[in-house]
Amino acid sequence: MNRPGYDWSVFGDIDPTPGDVAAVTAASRAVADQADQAATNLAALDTAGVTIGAGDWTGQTATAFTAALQTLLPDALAHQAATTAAAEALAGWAATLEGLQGECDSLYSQAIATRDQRDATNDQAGRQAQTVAAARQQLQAATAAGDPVAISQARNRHLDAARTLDGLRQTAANLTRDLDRLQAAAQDLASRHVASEGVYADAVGEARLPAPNATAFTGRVGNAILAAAVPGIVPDSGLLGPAEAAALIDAVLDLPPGEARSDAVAGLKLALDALAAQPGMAAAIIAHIGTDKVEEIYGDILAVGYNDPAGTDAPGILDAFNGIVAVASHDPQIAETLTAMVQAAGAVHDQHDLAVLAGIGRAVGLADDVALALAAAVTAAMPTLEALPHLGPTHGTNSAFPELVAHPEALLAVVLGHHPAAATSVLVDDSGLNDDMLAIVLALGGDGVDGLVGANIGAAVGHLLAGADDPDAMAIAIAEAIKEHGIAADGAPTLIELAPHIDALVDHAMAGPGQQWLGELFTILLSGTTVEGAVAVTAALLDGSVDIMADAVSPASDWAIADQAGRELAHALRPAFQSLKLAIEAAMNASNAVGDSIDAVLDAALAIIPVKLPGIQQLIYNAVKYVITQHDFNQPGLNSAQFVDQTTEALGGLVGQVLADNPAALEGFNEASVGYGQPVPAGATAEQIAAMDLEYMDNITLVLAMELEQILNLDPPQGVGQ
Amino acid sequence: MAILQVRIDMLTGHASMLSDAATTIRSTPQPGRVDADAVGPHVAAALAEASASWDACIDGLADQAAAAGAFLAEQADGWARIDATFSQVPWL
Repeated sequence: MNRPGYDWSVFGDIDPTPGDVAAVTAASRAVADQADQAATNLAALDTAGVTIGAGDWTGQTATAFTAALQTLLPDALAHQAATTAAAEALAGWAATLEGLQGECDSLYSQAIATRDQRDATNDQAGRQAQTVAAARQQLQAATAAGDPVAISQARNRHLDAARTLDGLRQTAANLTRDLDRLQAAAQDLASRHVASEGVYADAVGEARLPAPNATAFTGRVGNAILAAAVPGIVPDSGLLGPAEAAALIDAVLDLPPGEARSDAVAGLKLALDALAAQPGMAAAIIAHIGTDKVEEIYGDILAVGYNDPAGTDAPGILDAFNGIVAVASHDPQIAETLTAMVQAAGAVHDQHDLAVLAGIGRAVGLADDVALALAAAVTAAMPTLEALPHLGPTHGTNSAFPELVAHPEALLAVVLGHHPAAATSVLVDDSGLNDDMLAIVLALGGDGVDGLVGANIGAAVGHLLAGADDPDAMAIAIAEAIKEHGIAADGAPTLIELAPHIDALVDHAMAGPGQQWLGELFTILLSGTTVEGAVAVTAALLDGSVDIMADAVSPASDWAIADQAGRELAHALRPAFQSLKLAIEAAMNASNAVGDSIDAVLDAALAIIPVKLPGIQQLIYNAVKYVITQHDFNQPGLNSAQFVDQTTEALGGLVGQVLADNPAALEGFNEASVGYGQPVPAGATAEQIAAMDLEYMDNITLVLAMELEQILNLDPPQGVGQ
Repeated sequence: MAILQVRIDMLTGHASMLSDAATTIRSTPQPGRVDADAVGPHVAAALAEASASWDACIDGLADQAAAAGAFLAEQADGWARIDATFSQVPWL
């Protein structure tokens, strides 16, 4: 854009040196400010590294951390250098532009003056031409008159006028030539301006930085650990791509057992996790190494697992590698190849096939499609697996694949334990899993190596739950499977394992199949159970139920003691009491040693409850006692009214305790109880609250009593809230 | 235990230092947009490209410094949990 205030028509309406020196100078200063800050940034990081490095934090992680921090300095230094160079380039351009515009101004002044002078000369020449014409007419008139003197004078005037005109025209021509030269100089100046701007633009462009090293900080720490454990294992640049990642895995797998390998495994996990977090990198790594290599790596991990004194190297490598595999499995193309790989491995031709199935089977977060294909492949391979001779004990134990040594059949439990979607598919959906297969799955478990004999169903369920990413979902899947297929042995251990998930099971039952579902499940699980099993089940159920009630009366729950308290607590108690009732009824019906069982059940209940939530203890105790006495095994027990009295009294004590402990609850209680008599004073103890005759408390306990009446199908409560 | 608390305090201090460094880096002034007519179209284009690369560098460094601080904070938290566990054992 032409600078304003000039008459650029003198240069063909073009400013030869456009630009604003002040604006360029301002840009230079702004970049210089960033360069100054870049120096501060560099110093801050450098100081942090020096301070931390010189501090008392020592050890492998400290060393790796300091090294990782050092890897930030090159980027900080490059930023400082780049911005400094750019600021200098801009300053140079400002100075050059100023010089060029100075030259331009000079040329402009000359050109304007020359053009003005030429134009004036041309004007003068125009007027002189009229003079010449007039002189010519006078000469013609004198010639016509024939006066020699007049003719001579007229000729002289004409000649003088003509000469003057010639002179003026010559001057104008000269001025035009001068102007041309000035305009040519202006064009040259414009060319130099363009060229100069290009030079400085290039200089600024050279200050452009490459994309920063995207390796996450934890990855840098991992690289540093790897580099310290095995010099040369990580490229000097610290940048890892698919090829470098594959080389790292190979290098760690090739290391002999020892401290360096264990250290390297820790670094590998951090490094590969950081790579997996980079978009597209995990898929690129798997695509680079190919499925043959993936199979080989799983096989190599199996080999390392047999020679793993620490017992953590092979699982560590597997975990690190599976992190990449799991992320990559969400890429459609990679999922396709991994699916083909597990389907092929399902033929179980050799140990490597087993390693592939068991290896990828432990990948947490595997894409559902691949997980389902894996589960299907392993399910189909079950007959083959059952026929395989055990791989141990001549091989010793394998730290990465313990189940392959003792019981290859446990592979299915491993796969299902890591993939709830696959578990649901295999255990619940119509996937062709027959009762024998379910029995195998449920018969396996424990720690995967020892104690895998017999129908150790509870341990198998525990194994599945422990390995599940979502144990509640897994518990529901198992419960559904048991409901669908039944179970052939003592179900008490299974129910014990499921008990911690009772809240999820209750929620599931309430949301879907209804309360009957839970009752049927417990009946199946308790069918044929022993007295000891009944005791253990009761204890486990109490454990799970207490958790529910603990949630319901948590001081963190704003609603706990407000006007909904009674209903909410009763609502929370409902499934717990129903569960207890069903469980104990089934246990009692199944037991031939009734008296012992009653005592044992009560002992178990009392052994569990006090350490959990003292305020609930009496409620549970009464419930247990009530249900037992309902069967009237000639035991002195409580009648319905007494039960309700005791439970409501216990609730009153519990409410008082919560009000004493929780000012927010106290405030809510007092707000809700307006019109129901006196408020509870702030700071009152539980005992003081219990001693108060609170009408609103009576109202709450009446609600609870009515709920309990419905739950337990009691006669209408007598003497409570009447 | 006192010795663990010293370590926790030290790691927390380091974490704080790196967090401050991240904040400092993130506050790096930007040159801002320039008028291409005023500074020249080629220079303006080159400056825009370079400036974008500096921004990426600043963001990257700030993120890394923050991640380093978080790493140390996590270490401190781990030691704090260990300390809390020990504190429940009367004879330690």
